[in-house]
Amino acid sequence: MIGIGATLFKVPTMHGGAAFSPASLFSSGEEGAWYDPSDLSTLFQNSNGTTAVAVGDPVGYMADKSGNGNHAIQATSIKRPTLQQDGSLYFLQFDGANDCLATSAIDFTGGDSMTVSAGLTRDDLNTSVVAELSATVTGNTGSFRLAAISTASGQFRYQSRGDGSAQQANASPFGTGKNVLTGVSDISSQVCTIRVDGTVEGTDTDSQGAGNYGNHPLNIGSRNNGASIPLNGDIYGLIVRGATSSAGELSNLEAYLAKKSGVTL
Amino acid sequence: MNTYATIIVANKNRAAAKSLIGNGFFDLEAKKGLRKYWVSSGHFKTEEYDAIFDSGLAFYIDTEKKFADVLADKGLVRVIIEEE
Repeated sequence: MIGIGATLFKVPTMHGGAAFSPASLFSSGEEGAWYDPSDLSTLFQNSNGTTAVAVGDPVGYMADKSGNGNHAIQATSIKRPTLQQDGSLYFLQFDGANDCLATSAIDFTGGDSMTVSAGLTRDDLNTSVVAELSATVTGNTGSFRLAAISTASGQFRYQSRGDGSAQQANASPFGTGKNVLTGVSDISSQVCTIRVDGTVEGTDTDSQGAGNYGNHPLNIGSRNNGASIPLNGDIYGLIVRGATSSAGELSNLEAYLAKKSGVTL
Repeated sequence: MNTYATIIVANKNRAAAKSLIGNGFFDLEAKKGLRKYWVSSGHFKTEEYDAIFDSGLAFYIDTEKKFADVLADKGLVRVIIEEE
């Protein structure tokens, strides 16, 4: 028997991506990774996946929730970011010195399109890596980088390359603060687009060369496992998908990351 | 256990500090005028932190502020190889 107030006729709501799970972006076997610092069951202090974390602890292991097994680790203790909390939000704090999490090589050789999206805070305007496939996008074919650039007072940049030179799409200076940053690229279609807070900020249509993305490690929060251009800021979530994404998927993805990072789109 | 700290050593003490706790430390260069310093910042294992603290090799140790704020407080400028 159903009484007054029961939920028989309740319609599921999808405002702000509430019913969306990033898992759906990988349901067709897409290569990639999904990192969610708010899911403490995926975080560990040690790079071998041991010792649970609490707020204020170093994070040496962040499990990939995409199902692809591309877990990000940091074996060196002083390079580990710190789990922090702000109200209901959880994030990894990168100290701007040399914090970095990196995966083993991810095999993106099966495709030439990519979607990269992160919720982040920048505490300064220095050049810094949010996510970079390979040790450096300028030195490796089949790679990408989502970053901030100091020379343009805090410009965001997404770079992508096949076997040619890296092409870049820039977003006007946003200053310090919190944003949802997305790069979308397709090597053969000559598209390299950057989006900030759900809005397309720039698209580069020059040739990136030919070929697919490569089999490279993914570096998070710094270049080449902490060697240079470290992020002084926070990451609330990061999703890398070896595919372009539809307008609906991008909308849901960015709404999800906005909710995770406290950004109003 | 870990201790979050930013530890600065003078150039003359760098080799000894590395020898004490490991080669992976004190690779971030900073300058104050002509003086050169080397910095490590992050989660030190407690035994690493204690060893440096007790050794007297450190120029400065901070366990509360962020890396950039510590450098600013000490008037140090990080040496950065420009990359885009």
